[in-house]
Amino acid sequence: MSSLVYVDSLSVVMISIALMVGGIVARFSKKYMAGDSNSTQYYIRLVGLVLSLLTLSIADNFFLFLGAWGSMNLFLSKLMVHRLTWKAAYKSGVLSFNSLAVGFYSLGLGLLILYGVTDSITISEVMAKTPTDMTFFSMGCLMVTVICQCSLWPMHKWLLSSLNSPTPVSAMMHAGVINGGGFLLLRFSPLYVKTPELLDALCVIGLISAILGTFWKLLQPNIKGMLACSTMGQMGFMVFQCGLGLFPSACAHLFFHGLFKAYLFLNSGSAAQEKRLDFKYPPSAISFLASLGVGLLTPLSFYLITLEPLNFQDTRTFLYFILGITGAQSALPFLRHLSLKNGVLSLSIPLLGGSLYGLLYILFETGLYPSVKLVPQALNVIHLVGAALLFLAWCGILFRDKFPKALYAKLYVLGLNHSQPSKKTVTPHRNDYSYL
Amino acid sequence: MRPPMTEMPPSPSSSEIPLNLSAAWDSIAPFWPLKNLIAVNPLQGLEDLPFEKALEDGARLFQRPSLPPEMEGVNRESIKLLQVYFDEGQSTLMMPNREEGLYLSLFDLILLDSRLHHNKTKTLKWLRGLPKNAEEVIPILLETLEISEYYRETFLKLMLTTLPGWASYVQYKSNWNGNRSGVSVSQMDYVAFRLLITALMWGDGKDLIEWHEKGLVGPYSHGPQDTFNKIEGHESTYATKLLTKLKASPPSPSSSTPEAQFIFCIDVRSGPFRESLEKIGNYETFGFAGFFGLPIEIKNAQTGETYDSCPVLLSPKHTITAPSRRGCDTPDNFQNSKFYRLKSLYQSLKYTFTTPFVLVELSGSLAYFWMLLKSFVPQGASHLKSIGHRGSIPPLQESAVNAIPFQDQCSYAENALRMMGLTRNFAELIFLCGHGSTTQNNIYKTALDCGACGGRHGTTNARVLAYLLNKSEVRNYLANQGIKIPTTTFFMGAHHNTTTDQVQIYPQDLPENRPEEQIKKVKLSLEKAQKDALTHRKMFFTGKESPTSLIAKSLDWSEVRPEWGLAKNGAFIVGPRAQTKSVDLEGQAFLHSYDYKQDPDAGSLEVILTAPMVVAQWINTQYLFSTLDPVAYGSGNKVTLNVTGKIGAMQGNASDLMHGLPLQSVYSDDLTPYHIPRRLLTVVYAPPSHIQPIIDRQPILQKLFRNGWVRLLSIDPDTEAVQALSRNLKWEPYT
Repeated sequence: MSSLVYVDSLSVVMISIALMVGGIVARFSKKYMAGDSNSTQYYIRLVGLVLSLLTLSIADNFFLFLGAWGSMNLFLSKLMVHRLTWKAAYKSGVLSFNSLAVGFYSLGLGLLILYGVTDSITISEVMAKTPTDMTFFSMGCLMVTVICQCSLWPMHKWLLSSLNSPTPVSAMMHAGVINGGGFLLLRFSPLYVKTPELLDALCVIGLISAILGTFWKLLQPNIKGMLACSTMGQMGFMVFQCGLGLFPSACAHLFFHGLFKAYLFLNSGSAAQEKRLDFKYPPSAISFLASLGVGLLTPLSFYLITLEPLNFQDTRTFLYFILGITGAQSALPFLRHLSLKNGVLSLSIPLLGGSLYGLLYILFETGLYPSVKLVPQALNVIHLVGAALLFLAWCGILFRDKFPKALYAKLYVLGLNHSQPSKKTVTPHRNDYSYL
Repeated sequence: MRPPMTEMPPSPSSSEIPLNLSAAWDSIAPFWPLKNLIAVNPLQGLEDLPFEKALEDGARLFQRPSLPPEMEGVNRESIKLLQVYFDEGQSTLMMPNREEGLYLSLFDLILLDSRLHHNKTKTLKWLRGLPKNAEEVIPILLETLEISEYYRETFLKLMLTTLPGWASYVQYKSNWNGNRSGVSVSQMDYVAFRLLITALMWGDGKDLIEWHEKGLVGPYSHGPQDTFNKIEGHESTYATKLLTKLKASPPSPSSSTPEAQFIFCIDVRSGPFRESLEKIGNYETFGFAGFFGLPIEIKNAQTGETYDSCPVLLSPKHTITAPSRRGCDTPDNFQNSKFYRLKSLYQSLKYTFTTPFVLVELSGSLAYFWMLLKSFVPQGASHLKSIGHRGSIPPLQESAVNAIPFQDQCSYAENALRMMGLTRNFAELIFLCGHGSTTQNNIYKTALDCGACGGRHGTTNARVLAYLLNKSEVRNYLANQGIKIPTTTFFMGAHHNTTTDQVQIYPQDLPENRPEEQIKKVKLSLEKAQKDALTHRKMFFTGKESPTSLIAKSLDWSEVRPEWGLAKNGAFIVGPRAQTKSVDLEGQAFLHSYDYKQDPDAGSLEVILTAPMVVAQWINTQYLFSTLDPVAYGSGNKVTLNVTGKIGAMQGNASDLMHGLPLQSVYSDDLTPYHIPRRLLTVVYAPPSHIQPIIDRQPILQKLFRNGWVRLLSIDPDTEAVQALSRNLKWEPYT
């Protein structure tokens, strides 16, 4: 007997974020959207979107899963357009709908293959049978869906063009809809670990998106553009974590990033008041070396909490590595003016951060077991190249003044042009904009 | 008082080009950045025309429903590049070489931009052959575009008016002192840049002229006429009502010396609060420009940053260091504060590669907790936020005030008292109330602050003038000039929060022997007045409101209509308060105190009409046009705005820089205007013979009155006779 729904710890995480962010967005919209003549439709669609997300979180039956997936994306596109009178917003909606539709069809095809192989139409049954035939193809199809949904390179354009949406819609999009891709990967993670080629492909796509997204984020002159590119980078990193087999970590990333980004979008009206501090990069040789020292120590706190082995053999090493860079970076602002207090802070804050990271890691690893399991992979050359890129890119920001000027200008224009929203979604003539 | 239109002297070699340029720029009004949104008439460049004609020309220049698709492409690429050039701190990786100026630095980028030259060898060769100088390149580009001599001026103007918001920002930067901070730009550079993009993207750019000329005979011929009739209807209704009210109420007899006197900004939002306050006790109130006549800039001791705290028509002469809380009064100990450390940790992890991936995981739950607090317990969020900088505000330091030389201290003090007619009958406590708003997450925050203080809070100005008026040396000087202030009189600075109607006073600036008991009593009265004013104000909102819910708006991060600002402004009344005291002005009038009998040479009135009234006219026209067309002259709906470069906002992904007020500032919902579009009605309590010489002397007044941008009425306080100034500047009895 096939079941319609199936609730596990992963569902609980997804339900939580949908309700948590949905609740805030609804509350926020009450005042924010006041006076909008289209608000009834707005709320209907918002509720529709949240219900789709909730259904998706617990769907076991293929049709229910696919239906929830499609309706989520349909509601999203409608929310993005909001009104048909503003041409650019309409085009944003169309672009999103079409991009997400590619993922939808691909998902359908993937599920069809699974059905063909296992003769069952529920996820739980498929998982129980752990098919080995055609897994590469079915999971490949699902990977395409993930790339579309998470707005990864090369399917990122729709997200970068989605800022004609009312602000709360963006919050819901970046905290809910985008996460659908991650959820899909986590749901089918037991099958992905059977296809190391796909894990490597996830690593490559994830890395490219993480690096491009972050690069573009750093050069965006407007707040919402910056947030959109940042999401692309964060989703890239999350998919990269999946490629490393660190599925529980990816789930934590998905969850916390959603909360964080929802806040940043809702708060984007304050962008002009945010004052940027000048960190006087590049740091002096001494403070850079000292920060690297702190970076080497930071993972220790993570180790003491999690007792995960640091063996330089498998992908768990990556967590240590990322934490090390973060530890070094968080020590830097304190190492600028030397004092006892700053010295203490430069060491204690990274260590505290590492411990907290460890706690969250354990929380998600144990909490999600056995729905989502940690399956560390043996380190390979892709992982090492990824680590090198993430490290070099980080150094690149610190020492950007030393970068050759001509090359910087070239990369800058390339980055600027590639991160532009799709042409039709821009409003070049002021009076083409319409709020009615 | 306006700075010169253009700084570029015509060079002998190309004398004609600069001439064309300044004519083209004449139709563009300046747009101040978000850090100090000054109200501006979007048709300021057309004020030389009669109002009706300006409406029509404005429609032709700025309200065209569509643009040729090729020009849209030009705009799209312009917007892309202008955003990065003018970015004042949004991006971490900045555009290179901005110090070279707009044209040169963007030219370097254009050479690398395949979206513009499509890597065509011919185009690249042509680009490389262009002179590296905006002035020299303009004639060449005009030639490339085949613009004939006859159409040059029109074409240059169209380069500006087809992307009006960005042109307005350049007008502010280049012509209104905007180049003092951030990157600088010249009008020449901007025009050259626009021409270059056009030449690259639209070979037949000259077709733009044809498009423009079609618009001249388009369906606009009757649209503006309807609009004008509607405006006139609103105006005559309002004028009749106002005059009836003013006439019906006899001037309230001046009673004995009041217990306290309060001087508020002329801002329309002061009116209702003053009415509430006067009802509560024997209090007298005055209206005066909210910068209190002090041409100062204010320096932040923590960051060293300064801002102008006087009308943009003036340039500041003195730098006052604002009193800041102990422990953060120098850049050094500010950098050691907890707040600064936390912020630097956060920003250092956020704006770089790789570490943001960990940052979001570590701070996601905090962000959620913070959202919950902001959404459901905003009071709590506000408390938590202020933990970093709690503690009482320290008194104003003598050394800070002495940035103004003694001679100037005396003259500012005297001028202020004379201009508002407060030269005798001093109460024991006199409060100078600066004002500012409190709103959260509001892109247009500074549009609600004090316009007379350059779009900032005016409280420091108030405290400084109070300090001066308490100084014995200044008082000695004033006594010699015939203004005798009793030794028992104390002046105090105060802050009127226009969102909550709370008034906070600053007794800490006073010497030790301050009258504590009386101060306490005034504080209580101010609290009562707040409640009364809020009860009255709740009627201005559509939903069910209470004083508490109105105060809550100031802390609500999702609120798009935290207060109505200066919406519904309609009149500027210059006269003694006694004349208007018993009239309900419904918060629609600017009120400037003035007694013509104390101003025999009309010198004060001349200042009032050429400075505060002109500012009031800017505000009035901004609200008027933002209401008439919230897209062409306003910023559109707040919910889809996107802040760019920290200087302005665009609609959605990218658009023109949206200057003007957002929809929510002037409409109570999508379809219902809250503001009533009508031109400013100035009412002066003085006979025409007193006013006329000023008009004869002041071309700006002739322009505004002759062209119908402002209407002027004179009421003789002795005879009650009302006379109106006609468009041909003749006085006629008002009927």
